[in-house]
Amino acid sequence: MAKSERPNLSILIVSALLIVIIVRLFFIQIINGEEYEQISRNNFLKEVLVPSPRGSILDRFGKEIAVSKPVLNLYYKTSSIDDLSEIKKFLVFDLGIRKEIVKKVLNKAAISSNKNKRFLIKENLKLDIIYKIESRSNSFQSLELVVDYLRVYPFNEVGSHKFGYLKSNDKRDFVYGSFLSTRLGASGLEKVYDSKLQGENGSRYLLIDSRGREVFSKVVSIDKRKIKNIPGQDLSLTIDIEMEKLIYDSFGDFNGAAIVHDIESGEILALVSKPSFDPNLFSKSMSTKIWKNLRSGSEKPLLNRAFLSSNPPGSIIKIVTAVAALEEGAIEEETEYYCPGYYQLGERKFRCWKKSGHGKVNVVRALISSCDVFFYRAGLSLGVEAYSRWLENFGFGKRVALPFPQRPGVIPDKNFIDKYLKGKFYRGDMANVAIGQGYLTINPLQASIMTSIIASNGSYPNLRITNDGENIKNENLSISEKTLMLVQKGLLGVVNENGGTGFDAFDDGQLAGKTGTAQVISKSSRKYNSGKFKNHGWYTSYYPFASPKIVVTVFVENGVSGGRSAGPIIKKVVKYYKNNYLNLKGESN
Amino acid sequence: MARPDAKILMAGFLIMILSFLNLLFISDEAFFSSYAFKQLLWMIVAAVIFFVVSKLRLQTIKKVSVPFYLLSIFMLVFVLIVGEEISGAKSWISIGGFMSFQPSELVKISLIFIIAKFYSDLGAYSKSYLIKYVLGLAFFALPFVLIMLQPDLGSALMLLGISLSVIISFSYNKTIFLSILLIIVALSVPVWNYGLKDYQKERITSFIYPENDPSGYGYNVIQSKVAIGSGKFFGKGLGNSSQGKLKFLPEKHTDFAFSVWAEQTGFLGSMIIIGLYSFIVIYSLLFLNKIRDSFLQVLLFGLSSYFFFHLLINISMTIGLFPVVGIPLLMFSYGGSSLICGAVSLSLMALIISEYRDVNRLGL
Repeated sequence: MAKSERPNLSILIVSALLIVIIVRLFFIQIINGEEYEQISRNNFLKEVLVPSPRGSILDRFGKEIAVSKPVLNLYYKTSSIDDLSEIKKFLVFDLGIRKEIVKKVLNKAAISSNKNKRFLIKENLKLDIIYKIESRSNSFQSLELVVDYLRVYPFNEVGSHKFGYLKSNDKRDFVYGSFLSTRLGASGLEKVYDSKLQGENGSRYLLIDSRGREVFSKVVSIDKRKIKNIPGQDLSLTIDIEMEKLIYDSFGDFNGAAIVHDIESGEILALVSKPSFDPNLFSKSMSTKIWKNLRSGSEKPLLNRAFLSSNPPGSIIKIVTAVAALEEGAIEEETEYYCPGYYQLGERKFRCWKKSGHGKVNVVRALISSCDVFFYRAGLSLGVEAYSRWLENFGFGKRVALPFPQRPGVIPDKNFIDKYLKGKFYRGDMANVAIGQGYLTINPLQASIMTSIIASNGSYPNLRITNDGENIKNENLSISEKTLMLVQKGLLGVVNENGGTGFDAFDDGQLAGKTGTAQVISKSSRKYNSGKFKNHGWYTSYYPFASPKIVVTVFVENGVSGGRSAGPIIKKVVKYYKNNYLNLKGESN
Repeated sequence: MARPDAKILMAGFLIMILSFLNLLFISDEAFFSSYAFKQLLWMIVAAVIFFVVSKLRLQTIKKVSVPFYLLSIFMLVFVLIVGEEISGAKSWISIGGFMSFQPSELVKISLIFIIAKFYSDLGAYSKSYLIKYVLGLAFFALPFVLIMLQPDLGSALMLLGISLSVIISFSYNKTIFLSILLIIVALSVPVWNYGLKDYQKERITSFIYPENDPSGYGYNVIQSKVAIGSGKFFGKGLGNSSQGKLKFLPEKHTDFAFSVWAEQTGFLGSMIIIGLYSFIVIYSLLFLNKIRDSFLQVLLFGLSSYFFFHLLINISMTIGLFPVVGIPLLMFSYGGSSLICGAVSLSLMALIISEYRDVNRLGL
């Protein structure tokens, strides 16, 4: 650019841009001024919130576990136009809303510095109330009907621990007012997948005249604004909610936990903990009384027993004891121990559960009859170091790779012994852990993994509950074929042979498993095994024996015996599985 | 003795008076706690600045260019460390709890100074456009990055506009111009992805797609347009800003000060404001060719574009021609930093216009 042209060109550009602005102002103020003045005198921009539904949680067959149901709520938003006493009258006398609630809401709104915030007056309105509001809402600026979404869990208590529940979104509510649809996942999968499930609310503006009617304007093209809310995404689970319901109901008066998983894919079909809570209670604001009951009720309904209760495994751990002893060469297939009903270790007598004794037993027979004496001796010749290594191989003392809070329990490894037992682990301690008592606790999910490993010839299952993760190849524990064969034979006998402890689940001869009893320690020996201090029952099993498909583990709190309390539940699950997955009609008994 | 050009100072004085009236009539608070009162205090400071600058000699101005630039860069770093965070950006240094200052405002002027100094130092013997471009962009890049770190999108854009207009007009070269344009387009993608905070993106997208607007920035623009439009030709009269008074319009004393002014005084009032600013800009541009000293030439051009860009962007914001990026109308919107920096620029422009003949004769 030549020097002399520069200022002229600059002035030209400046003038051109100024003319654009001036023309625009001319249009706004002079051509359309009349219309803008109308708007400014009579009309208001009203922001209408468009909440979006949370994504559904679906089971493996697409059945709805958690859904967002549209409801209509009434909100209050400060407006300088409305007569407060008129609104009060309308709310209390016409709609029948409690005076205290109306007062509370109006007071809150009055002291709030945020004039755009909405305050919830009543949620999930009934039809007759909606009609009443509709017929009068035009006379009030500050009342607004908003479509909101209530979280509904059609199966109520069933499986609710892992699905979780919602809580109020305090940070957001503080700014925008409280909405059901913006509640946050507070626990379980609702929390883990919150960002996926949560939708994004939209809003739009309406031009409203002083009587609350929507008006349309040429100059303010807000009527064209689209509702831009983004609904949350659905979450598909591997769960079979009907199976869960069956299990939940089968517990009857008992409490406890049950897990069913597919051996090959690791998909969890059912994961039930009882007692449970109704997550529907959390979908709207809850009274403190209900909350207190849930939190500190004596049965601890919020506790997910499948992950969070770690108990002595009792006899089911004999599976690991047998595998470890055989693999480490502590016993052979032919090894036989004589059981007179007790085992004398130094000055202490370690009793077998059967006072009369089992006589001469080998490892298969010992598993079938759950002979304690055999496993005391097998455990003692195995030693704690090798034993805890095998416990670790089977996943005990470790978290399961699932997104839930867990209690992994303890195993008597070097860490534990050094930390809590001052490095001393006596032979008596070893005898105890070999039959699943003493310094060994597990949660029900870990028991399922153990059984799965046996059923699948040593493959460690990658348990999962959603379908979104990639398929990780199962890790293989190297256990010799012979050991597996012996243990599997024992587990088959437990259910199907006379004298087997799991006979209560006997059906078509294809179920294999192991029962156990976890002793509940009471300070007073008189209370032993009665009432609250009744022993817990374990039963972990797989089906069908010929080509194993599923593992079913049931833990019954105070169920006394795993066989008797959990056996019938397992039987029902297997029957259900046959009918719905294997397409075999129940052909047994 | 220098007698600063009276016409341009008069225009600035009128703008300040109108600004005061505007703030006074939209306020519903007691006078001594109102923005109008605070602005009045800043105007006294501005008057002192007018006086001090008029005593300066043009010869000394050039010498302060480098220290002035360094000082403003230092303050930009300083504000990142100790600055007060207001609505998500660390842009303010608080002075004694009552007043606060925005260093990004200062750097807009000091950048013009340093470019002017180096261009005039080079200008006599260097015909290399490339050197001018690289130097100009280097001086620009440092404060630009610091301002983006605050982050203050509006000020950063303003800096870009001013420096590009100066660099391009004083070292025009087609190839370089086009390649810079290309670089800016290429850079805008990573800046958008990593450099901008969500609320800033929201403002820009809400401008481009007003229906996709959850936070209501589009709402502001609609309210602003309603305010301006409802003023019609003569306005509703001072003190009758219904949109402003009913709090429909946020930021009515800063970013949207023009909107409530246009509502109260109509198209006529809008034209008075635009006229006063246009006068300052075009009047100073008219003198450009008469000045022989290139330092003063670049400085005058830069300061005049400083005024013009603020006018252009701010008013465009209020009438929906530009995204709401938080650019005040210099000396008219409430705010000490912009008033002081506006006053400094204006008195310098007045001084250059009145004294250029002496400089032409005697040299700097």
